[in-house]
Amino acid sequence: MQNAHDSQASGRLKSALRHPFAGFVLIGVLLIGLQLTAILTDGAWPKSSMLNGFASVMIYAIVGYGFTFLLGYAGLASLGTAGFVGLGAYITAYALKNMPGVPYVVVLLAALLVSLALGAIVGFISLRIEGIFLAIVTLGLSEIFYQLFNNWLDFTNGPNGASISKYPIFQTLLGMSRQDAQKAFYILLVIITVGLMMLTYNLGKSSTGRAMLAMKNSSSAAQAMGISLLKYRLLAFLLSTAYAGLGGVMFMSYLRFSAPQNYTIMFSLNILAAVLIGGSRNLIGTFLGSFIVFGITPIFLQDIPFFRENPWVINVTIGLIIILVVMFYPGGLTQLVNNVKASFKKADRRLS
Amino acid sequence: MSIQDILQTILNSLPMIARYSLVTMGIVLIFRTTATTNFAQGLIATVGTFFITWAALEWTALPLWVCLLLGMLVAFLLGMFVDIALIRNARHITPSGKQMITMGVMMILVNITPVVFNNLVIYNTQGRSFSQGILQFSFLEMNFNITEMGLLSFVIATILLVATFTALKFTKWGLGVRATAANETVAQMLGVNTRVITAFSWALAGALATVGGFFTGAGAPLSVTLMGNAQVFGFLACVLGGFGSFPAPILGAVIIPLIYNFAGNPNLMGPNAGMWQNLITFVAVLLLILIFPNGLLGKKYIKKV
Repeated sequence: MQNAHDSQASGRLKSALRHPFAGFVLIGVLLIGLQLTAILTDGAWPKSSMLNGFASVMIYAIVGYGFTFLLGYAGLASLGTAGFVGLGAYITAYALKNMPGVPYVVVLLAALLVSLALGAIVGFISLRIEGIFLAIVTLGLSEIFYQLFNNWLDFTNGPNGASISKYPIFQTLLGMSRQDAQKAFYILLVIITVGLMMLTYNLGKSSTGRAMLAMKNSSSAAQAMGISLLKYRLLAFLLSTAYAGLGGVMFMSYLRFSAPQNYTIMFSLNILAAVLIGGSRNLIGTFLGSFIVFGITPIFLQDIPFFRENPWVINVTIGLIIILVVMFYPGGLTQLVNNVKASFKKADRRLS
Repeated sequence: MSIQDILQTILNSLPMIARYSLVTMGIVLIFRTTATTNFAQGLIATVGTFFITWAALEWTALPLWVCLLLGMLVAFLLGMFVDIALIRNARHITPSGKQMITMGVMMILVNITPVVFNNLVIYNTQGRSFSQGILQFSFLEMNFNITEMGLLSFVIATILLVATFTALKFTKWGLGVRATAANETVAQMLGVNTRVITAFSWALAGALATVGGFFTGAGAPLSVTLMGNAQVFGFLACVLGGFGSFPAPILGAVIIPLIYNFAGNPNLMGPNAGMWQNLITFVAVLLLILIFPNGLLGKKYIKKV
């Protein structure tokens, strides 16, 4: 009896582990575990610089999830990501600084709405411009954002950058100390990241995601099957800009500083690299990709003198990885994991 | 705005037209032969320009124009290398995949160039540039001026572009490029060595853009972002003119500098014009592209299923 109960329980555990969300939750638990360890060891390990590194990985991963819709599902390469992230960041900075009475949620929604409105415009542009020219046009768009960030002094404080003094919600509303607020915001960030992973996964599996995939493979065939290019391209852009805007809000709220130099084409390229390395549609892959592109340097390499003195090494490596992934390994990390799994299974079969 | 002011603004645009059309010519050569947009074009030119500066300031006492030729050679080889090592082996990959490869190349070059040139904070060819003079002349009782360097860049660019177009029209290589552009497989079957044609196009693109880079850098501090604007505007010029033919993008490369210079004219746009010059140009060009999504001279591209 006891045995049967046990096997039933383990069966349930197994099926729970096989659930697609298990990996997302695991990442969340690990990230929160890091913060808890830091609290328990009183900041001895992991150091706050490491935690900040993971926080920025999460922020970039959020942006990456949005980009997944464009690159992974709709097959559109856009280089306008940086602009939308910057927009979210600067709206947050401006609102928190100049309108102290406005609740944070309203600021968040406002940033999302503005991003969505502009995303809709880009979406309409994308309908008029074919495939590979889109990257060029969005690159031009991203330059427009950069010029605005750099020159619209009243709104962005120009090249000196914008900053906010307090962590929103926790420090302003709940009156926590700076350190506590930072920890609390980190945990909020983990929750948002995991939530968005689940949302993105479900959207991808829904009819919306499948329609976008069909469009990626052949826009003509998709149209013939009754998929509206207008609707789904626009949707892909809206989703991606909304995520980017949210990423920008989080960027400003957690890191509390942003300058126009953050939002150059390099940023967009890095996001593209992160998504590409992860395997375009795999969310855990995108997280790992963001970790490789944005996280390794602040988390690990910062302590190694060689990399501190030669920051170019890691960027050159990322460039090389982009080329290698596109040329030889289009599935990215996901394909790598699957291949390793398959070869293990083969070895298993041979042994038994 | 007086007529004199309008003509002077057009005159001021000439050096920029020269530089951008050289970069644009390279982009369109590559696009026509390999069906991809080369995001590393500006960076290849930047490497060439860094080389010229390094050669002129630290390496040799050779005349500047020899250094320029050497820099062109470096970019020529670099462009050829990118094609032979990467793009040639990526023929089975989608155009946007190839585009991402060039973005990877761009990322590598951006980071490695300052290191290779040993973080030289180079003030470009100080005292060794061709000329710093300003040429003044009057025409129809109106006074105009242009920098000698600017005029020189325009003359050189015109010569190079005319030579390229002549080569496209009359040489065997040009015929090969046009055949490859029309249909690579058929060209191959008819005995055109498309590999050589493509590699040479990439090489030429690098060399032409380096001349643009040289004149962009002349007299200003060098940095890896030297050709950033030229790269983006070069692309936009191609889309604006229409990627479908060789001369059409050059039209784009003429229009964009004109918009840029008129947008920066304080008599027309007010005292803060310089600040918003870039922004206004980008907005205007993007609007034009929206109105003419196939380019000013382009035809509607119909995809066969």
